[in-house]
Amino acid sequence: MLGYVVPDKPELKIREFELYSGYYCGLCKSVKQRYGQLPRIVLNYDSVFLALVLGALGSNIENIKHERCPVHPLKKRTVVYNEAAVDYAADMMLLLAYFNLMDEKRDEGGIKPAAGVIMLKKTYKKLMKSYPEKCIMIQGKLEELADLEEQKCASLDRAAEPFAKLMEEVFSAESLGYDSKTLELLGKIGYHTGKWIYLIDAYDDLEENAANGSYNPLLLQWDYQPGKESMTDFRERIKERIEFNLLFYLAELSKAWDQLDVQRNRELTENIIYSGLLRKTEEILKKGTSEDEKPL
Amino acid sequence: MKNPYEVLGIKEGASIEEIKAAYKEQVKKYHPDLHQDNPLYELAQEKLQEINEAYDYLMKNAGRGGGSYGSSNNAYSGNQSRQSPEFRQVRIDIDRGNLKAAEEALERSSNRGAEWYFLKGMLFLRKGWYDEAVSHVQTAVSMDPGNMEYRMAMNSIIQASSGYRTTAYGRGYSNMNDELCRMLQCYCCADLLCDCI
Repeated sequence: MLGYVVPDKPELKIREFELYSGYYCGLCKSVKQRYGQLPRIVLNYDSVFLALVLGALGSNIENIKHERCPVHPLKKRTVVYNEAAVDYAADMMLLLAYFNLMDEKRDEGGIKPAAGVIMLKKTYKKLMKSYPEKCIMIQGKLEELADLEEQKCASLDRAAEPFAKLMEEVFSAESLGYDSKTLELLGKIGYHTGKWIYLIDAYDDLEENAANGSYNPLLLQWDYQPGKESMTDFRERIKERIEFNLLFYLAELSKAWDQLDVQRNRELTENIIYSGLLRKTEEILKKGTSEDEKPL
Repeated sequence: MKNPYEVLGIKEGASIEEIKAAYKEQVKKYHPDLHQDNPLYELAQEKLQEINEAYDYLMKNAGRGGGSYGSSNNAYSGNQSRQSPEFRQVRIDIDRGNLKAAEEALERSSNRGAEWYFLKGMLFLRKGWYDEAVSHVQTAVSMDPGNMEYRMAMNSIIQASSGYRTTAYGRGYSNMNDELCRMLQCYCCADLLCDCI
């Protein structure tokens, strides 16, 4: 479910792009400083969105440095340093990565996830100390998610709920000292981001899930019957409804964002909210239809 | 009853389209939801009642050029006879965000008519379950096609979803249809990869 929440790069200003990279590198450095080299491999772009939204609420100017790092030895990079928001986002990214690996280890087995779990074990113990309630809550939601999958839940909203609630929890950064109104708005942004990611991932994976018989609430809710209907027809049949849902999530997400007391990162974050997410939505909706032509 | 044309603020002999447009505009203005916890609430409600009556009268007599004043029963209003007293508390609970109580009351009820589906839909809407919301309100509309409350709820749900795209377009979002933009996208993807090195 990674890689959906990204900016619309052609529409970014250079300085916005630099800031985005700065947050990305900041996440990576934050992990290294506090947990060591190994956990850095779980770095992803989606977590930058969390860091940006939370960072938008800070009032001071970011502490930005230009420096080299072993991964990019040739060019100096912009890095956002000493940001509570970045540290928090890094923690949540690690937490989710750990649970994700646990999940893979249980479902698929194999060496890779098992090694990952061992590698992140120490980090997880530290996180468990810093955020005991969040850890328990997130774990609970992931179990609910697995249960619904097991039961072959045929309702999109029901199936997506645990993941949406999980993201709500992730975005509600109580430890950063926000007031209750702000936390509620952040929770809303998290909830709808979660729903959007869940649905777009489900729609994206239709062919794969139908082929290997794995769980996908969309196949069940709209009753996909392999022999009677091609996947293209199925997509065509449900597309409008999926689009309605996806855009509804984004409408609610942007409504909550507009009510936040934003101090910085506005243009960049709004590039993701109003362009990046819409671009992804349209791209995924086009998938598997006649409009889906590869550029020359 | 006042002159229905005057109530809707249109000229006598206005077309059905004009009547509909004027009605929509007036309802938006006086919708009780906009005036909740506000001294204008009751006034807005009375006004809305008038608007509904006027609209009903004009629609019933459209093309007939006159007739007796009929009573209204199929338009939106904050408290209308069409709404069953059984669900009054459920409506209040949904309005106040007391979703658990509303949900329990609906589950207990054996009266699964159009209003039940409508309220269940409103409950889902508050909960963030938009797909279920749309299914339930749709069911309510098909069970009671004349009910304006259900229809308007349906419209506003659909509008909420498409509103995001309008805002995005307003902010300069363009849908990359031309080849240059596609190439640029491609270039950016490639560029992103180079950045990793």
